[in-house]
Amino acid sequence: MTEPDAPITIALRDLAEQAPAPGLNTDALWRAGRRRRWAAITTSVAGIAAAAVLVPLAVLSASAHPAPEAVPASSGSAGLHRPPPIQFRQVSRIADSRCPAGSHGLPGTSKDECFYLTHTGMAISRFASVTIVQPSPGTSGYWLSFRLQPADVNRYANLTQKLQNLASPHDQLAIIANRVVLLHPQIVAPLDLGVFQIYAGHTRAQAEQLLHRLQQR
Amino acid sequence: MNERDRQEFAEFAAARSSALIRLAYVLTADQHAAEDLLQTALTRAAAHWERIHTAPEAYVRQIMYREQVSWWRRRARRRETTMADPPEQAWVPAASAEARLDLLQALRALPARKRAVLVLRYLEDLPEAQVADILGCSVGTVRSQTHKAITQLRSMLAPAGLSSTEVGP
Repeated sequence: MTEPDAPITIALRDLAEQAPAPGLNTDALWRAGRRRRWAAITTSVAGIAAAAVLVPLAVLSASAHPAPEAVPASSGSAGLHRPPPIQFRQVSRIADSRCPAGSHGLPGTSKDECFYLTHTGMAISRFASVTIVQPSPGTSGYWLSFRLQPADVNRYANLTQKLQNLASPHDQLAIIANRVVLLHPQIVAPLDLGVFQIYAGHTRAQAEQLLHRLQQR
Repeated sequence: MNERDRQEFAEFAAARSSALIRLAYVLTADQHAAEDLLQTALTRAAAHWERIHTAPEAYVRQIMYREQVSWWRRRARRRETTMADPPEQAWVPAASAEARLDLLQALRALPARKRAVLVLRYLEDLPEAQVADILGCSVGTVRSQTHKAITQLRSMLAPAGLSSTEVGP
């Protein structure tokens, strides 16, 4: 840097000195980060330590939505109606780079990730509902609460049964809309009630953006 | 989830958050946006901690820069506009206290992408090639954005009647 550039440097340093105190809750950030990566997911399986903050919601969801009638289980796509389906596919590998041209990978939301998927999965035409929730005041982050249509519940239960507790990342289920992996939660328990929550971001804006992308198909 | 990793992350955040929030604030010029930017970066660092724990700060800083200027990544598919003559000369206002405050305000008013280039070049003191690498754009774009940022600073300060000096080779 040359001497005449100093006023710009000084002004930038002045600006930096006006920064607020950090005031971070590092535990909350850590939990949010781990959930972002593994997107801890649960329903009625109370007591899963990694998702303790979700337990009240999960219990509420479980009591409000009893398991529906059985539907034949399947892998692969189903319900291909307009709008384009939402796909659930098992993650095979996650590369920390943009998908190469011509590859079979799908991009994630960050563009710095490329998801390679197995053929294990299913598709749905839509969710019965998706809403943004914040677990409780003072806790960090926002979550999307999903409810499946009754006809999709058992297929989803069987799919999650297959993935639970496999070695990472095979225990992750990519949720895909418009050929973009929007979420890839780790499946820690079979989800047999058709109601589940997934971490969606540290701010409401992030959660709203994710919700918008799920709906914009 | 590994307790040692969590502890390392907490120690890193405690030790470096003051410096990182300053960078976030320079990039955003807004308190809430700075806090959001830092939290986003640290959350992503936590998500990839096993991979980045040996050098987390560089990762966090790069996330902050790229989050702030992510438009470049979309723009990368188009042809870059490069300059025939890199802006080796810098323009600076007179170094009076009043001029310094005006420059500070002008920096606040710059678009985020231009401010980010100035931060990397003038505050972090990084060479153009490294700036380009961090931002994921070409060296030509770094040069052109630096030039445009300085030109915009000049135009913002000129109406105030500040004295200025052309410097350089």
